[in-house]
Amino acid sequence: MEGLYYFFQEMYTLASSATTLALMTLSGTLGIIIGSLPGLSATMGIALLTGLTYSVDKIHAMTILMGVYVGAIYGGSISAILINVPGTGSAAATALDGYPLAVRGEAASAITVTRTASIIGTFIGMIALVTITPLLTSLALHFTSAEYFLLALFGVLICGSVSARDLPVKGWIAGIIGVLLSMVGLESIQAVPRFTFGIVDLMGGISLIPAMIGFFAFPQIIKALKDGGMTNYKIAETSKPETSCLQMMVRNIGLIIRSSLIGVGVGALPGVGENVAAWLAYDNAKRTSKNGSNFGKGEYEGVIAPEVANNAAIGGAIIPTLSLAIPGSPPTAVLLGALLLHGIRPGPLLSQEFPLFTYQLSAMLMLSCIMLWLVGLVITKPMTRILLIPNSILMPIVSVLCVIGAYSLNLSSFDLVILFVFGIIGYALEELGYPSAAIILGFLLGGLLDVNLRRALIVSQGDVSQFFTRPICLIFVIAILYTFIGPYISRRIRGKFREITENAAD
Amino acid sequence: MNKQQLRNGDLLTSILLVLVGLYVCLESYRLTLENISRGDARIYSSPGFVPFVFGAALIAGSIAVARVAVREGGNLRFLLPRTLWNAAASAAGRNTLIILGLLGFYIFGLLKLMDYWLATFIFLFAFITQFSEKSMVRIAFIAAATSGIVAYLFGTVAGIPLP
Repeated sequence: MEGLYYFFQEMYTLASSATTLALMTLSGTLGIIIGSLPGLSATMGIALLTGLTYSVDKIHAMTILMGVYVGAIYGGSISAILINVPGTGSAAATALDGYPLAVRGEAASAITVTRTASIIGTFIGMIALVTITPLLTSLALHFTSAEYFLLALFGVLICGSVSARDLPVKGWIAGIIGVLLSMVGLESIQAVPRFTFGIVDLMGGISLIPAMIGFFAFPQIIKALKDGGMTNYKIAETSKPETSCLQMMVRNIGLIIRSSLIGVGVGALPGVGENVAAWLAYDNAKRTSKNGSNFGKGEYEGVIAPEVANNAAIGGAIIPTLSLAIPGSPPTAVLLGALLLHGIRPGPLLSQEFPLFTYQLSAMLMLSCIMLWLVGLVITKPMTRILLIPNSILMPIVSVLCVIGAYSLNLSSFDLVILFVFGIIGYALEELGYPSAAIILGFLLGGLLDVNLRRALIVSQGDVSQFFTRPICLIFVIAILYTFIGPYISRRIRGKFREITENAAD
Repeated sequence: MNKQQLRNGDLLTSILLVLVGLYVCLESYRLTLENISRGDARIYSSPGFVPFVFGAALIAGSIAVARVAVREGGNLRFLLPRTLWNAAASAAGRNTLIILGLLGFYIFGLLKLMDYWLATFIFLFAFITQFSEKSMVRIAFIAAATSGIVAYLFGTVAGIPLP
């Protein structure tokens, strides 16, 4: 109850500030545009904006980042419906039924339904965030270095397993590369320089933001343009919605609850995120629906389920980010970096150092729901024009923003070198199936792994039995072992997705 | 990228990553020796301990990928100069090199040589011209407007120092 009081108090504070509301609306609009444009993603948008908002105060910066995050996850569905090209990975499942609906002349109805579904999903994710985070934070207060080490290791491994397109081991290697990159610079226990090659600029470590922009944005720019950058999308007509959205939501209340639980649950798993949540919810909806055989031909349940799930995953993904400093999705990995840059240290001590921050972030999420509704109402029409901007113009502009974003943090030309080098490495690795998300997660959690493993061993004087005898450690050890078996299960799930996609295509 | 190209790339990447892993392990070993020479005989407290563990894991993982690559027909014949040239001369290869060249020229050349807005205008003009079929005048307008807006919004309004 106390939590709810603080939440409403923060809601009131944020909502009574015209600047916050304006920023929320602008960033939400920007997020929708970023999300809907194929080639730009929520993660990339947040990474770019993190660099560009560094000089803004932390509450306003977080407002902007949350607006972009929520807007981008929803925005992906607009292009999925209108041009059958999902703007973000999390909207790929939405395209399966969204585009057939648009072809049938129901684009406006489909967009209204996905918007409402996104808002409901975000809202349920927000409720989970405000209720579960304090509980998890108090549990995390009992964590010792051994638990932290195992949790971070689990995060890196599970993210690798889930995000690897080809072999699971590539995902783990990507995580290891990230961890090793985080070792560059002065280490934090004895202040000994590691892997600096005598370069003074590397003493402070590799800068997070240029590395993130390099890993996430450069590969997108190259991928979008290497085949020429021509975009000849056929945009579906958007007339007035014909279906009553409210009735549809009431009719599908069971589906919405199931999908939001999937979203929150999958979102809360370290490094997994919105994409997997959307696909799992779609699969669940198809299996449980009476109209399962119509999925892929333009079924509203097929757009409601993934949209509720991918937006509910936002709140879910923020839960471990705030309470354990372990990001739940690629965008929250970047968000974690942004929090650290603004001096907010997520983890169990967050409730002591910034007692109201969880409620502030939840209030931002709630406001972004309202913003999504308002902006969504007016942006659909102009969106059909924005989608016509060719990549050949968009991507050079994105490149310019990447350079500003990477430079603005430290005003260092060396950061531009990091941007360029990591951009090339990120592109090469991404092409070969080493996921950037796992590299960044490893990079973010590397310090935590290093310090906590050594600290745990120093305290126990080299005794490793603590990793197997402490109850929470044992749970993490089992979870880590599961991540080695999990890929076989996820391969089966992927096979199922392929089956669903092929069925839908037929 | 088809399966054969992927496995060829996997084999090369695995070899490079094994070399990186070896370097990390050797450097970590040196850090551990330094730590011992400072009077701390505990290996696990050394700054080289964790990098050594992850360096070794990188080697093990890369060997596993290399094994899969070899088993599925991966080879290094694509490193022959002629094959490399053909790959670079393909449309995708050429475009990738052009993009990287333009970005490199912008970051390491133009931004160091001239004012931000001019460097950005030249970069955008060159970049868009390369990939767009719009008229030169239109591209020049887009480049000028974008560089002006970006420089004004970030440099003047937001007060962010520009490169």
